[in-house]
Amino acid sequence: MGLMETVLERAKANQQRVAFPEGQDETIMKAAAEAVQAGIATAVLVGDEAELRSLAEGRGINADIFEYSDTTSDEGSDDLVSRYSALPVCQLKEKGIRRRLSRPLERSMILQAIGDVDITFAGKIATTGEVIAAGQALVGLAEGIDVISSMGIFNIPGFEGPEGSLLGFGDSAVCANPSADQLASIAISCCETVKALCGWEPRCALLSYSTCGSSAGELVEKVTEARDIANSRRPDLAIDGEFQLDAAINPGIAERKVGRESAVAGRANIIIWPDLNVGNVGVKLVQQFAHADAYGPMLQGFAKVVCDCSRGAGVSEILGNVAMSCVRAQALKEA
Amino acid sequence: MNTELFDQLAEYARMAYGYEGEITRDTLLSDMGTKSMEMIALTSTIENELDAEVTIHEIMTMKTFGELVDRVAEEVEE
Repeated sequence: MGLMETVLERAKANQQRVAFPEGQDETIMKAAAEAVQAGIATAVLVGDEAELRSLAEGRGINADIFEYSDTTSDEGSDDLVSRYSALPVCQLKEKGIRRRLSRPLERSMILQAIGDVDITFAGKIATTGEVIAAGQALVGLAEGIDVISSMGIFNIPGFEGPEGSLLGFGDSAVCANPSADQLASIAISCCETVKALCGWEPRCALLSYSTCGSSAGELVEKVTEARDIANSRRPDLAIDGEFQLDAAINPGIAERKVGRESAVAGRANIIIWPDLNVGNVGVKLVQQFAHADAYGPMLQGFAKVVCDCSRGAGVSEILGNVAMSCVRAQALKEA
Repeated sequence: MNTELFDQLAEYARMAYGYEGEITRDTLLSDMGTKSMEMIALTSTIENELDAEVTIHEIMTMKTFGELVDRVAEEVEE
C-alpha cells in the first residue's frame, strides 16, 4: 500500500474534527464534503452559517453533513472566551478574543486551542503568512520549538533508501535563513512530523557542504551548532550532522567520509537543508532530474496541527492534505 | 509627537523583546528582536492596553520604532 492509501486508511480509523474557515471557497467546501462522505473527518465549517448553508445548497451539497461554528452569532461565545482565556497560550483580553471570534480563521484556531476541533485547515484564501501568524498567536508553538517550518516527503523513482523510495525533507518553504536554534527546531519538528505521519523511526541528517569537519567556516558552524542544540533539546531523537547529501543517504560513502559512529549517516530518512536557498533548489533538482513527486509542504512547529494548503490546490490534493493532517493530529493525541 | 504614547510603547517593547537599550524613533525594530513570539507579545500588549490592533505582518514590514508609534497613533486617534 502506498503512502497516501495508508494515510487515508489511518485517517478513517479514528476520525478527527477539522475546522474549515474558508468554506465559502467552492473547492474547499467540495473537499470538506468528500472528507465527510468518505469517512475521513468531521468537517466544521467556520463562518457565516446562513451564507455557508446557502452556498452549499447552490453547489448541490447537502448542508446538513457539516457542523457549523457561526461567526455572526454570539451564542456560546461567553463559554469560548472563558475557556480560551484560561489557556497559557492566550495573551489577549476578552475584547481581543471576541474580535477574533468574529473572524473565521482566528475563530477556528481558538476552537482548536480549546480542543473543540483538532485541525485548522486554511490557505485557499488566507496567505501562508496569515495562517502562520494566526497559528503562532492563537495556537502557539510546540514545546522546544522556536520557529514554524515545513516538511515534505519525496517519492523518488529508483531511490532505495531505508524507507524505499521515500525521503523526508525540510524546510523548503517557510524559514528563509534559520539561525542554529531555528535549524535545530526544524530538525526536531521534521522528526515529529515523519514519525506521526509515516510511523518511521526518524534518522535526521543536517546537511552542509562539509562532512564532519571536512570544510570549515560559519556556514558549517551553524549546522554543527544546530546539531548540538537539537541533541541537547531532544536526546531521544537521532539527529546528526554536518553531512554532505551523499554521506547522509549513501551507506558506502558514509563509511568512507564519516569517521565516527552515527545512527544517521548513510541511512538518513530525513534531510534538513541549511537554508531556504538550498531547500528550494534541492527540491527542484530532485523533481526535475529524478522525476520525483513531493508530498507537502506541511506546516509544522505549532502546538497543534495547522494546515496551509496551496492556493491552486484542487479537491483531491486538499483531500490528501486533510487526511495527512488527521493522521498527524491522531499521533499528537496519542503522544 | 505624542510623548505619552511613545513612552507607553517603549515600555511594551522592552517587556516583549527583553530589550534594555535606549529606544528612540530611529531605533531599528530588528535590533530589538526578530522572534515572532516576541512580536506576538508586543502586538497583544498593544491591543490589550490601547485597544489598537496592529498585525505582526505590519510590524515585520516596519523598520523603525517611530513607524510603530505612528501606526499605533493612527489607531488610537480613529
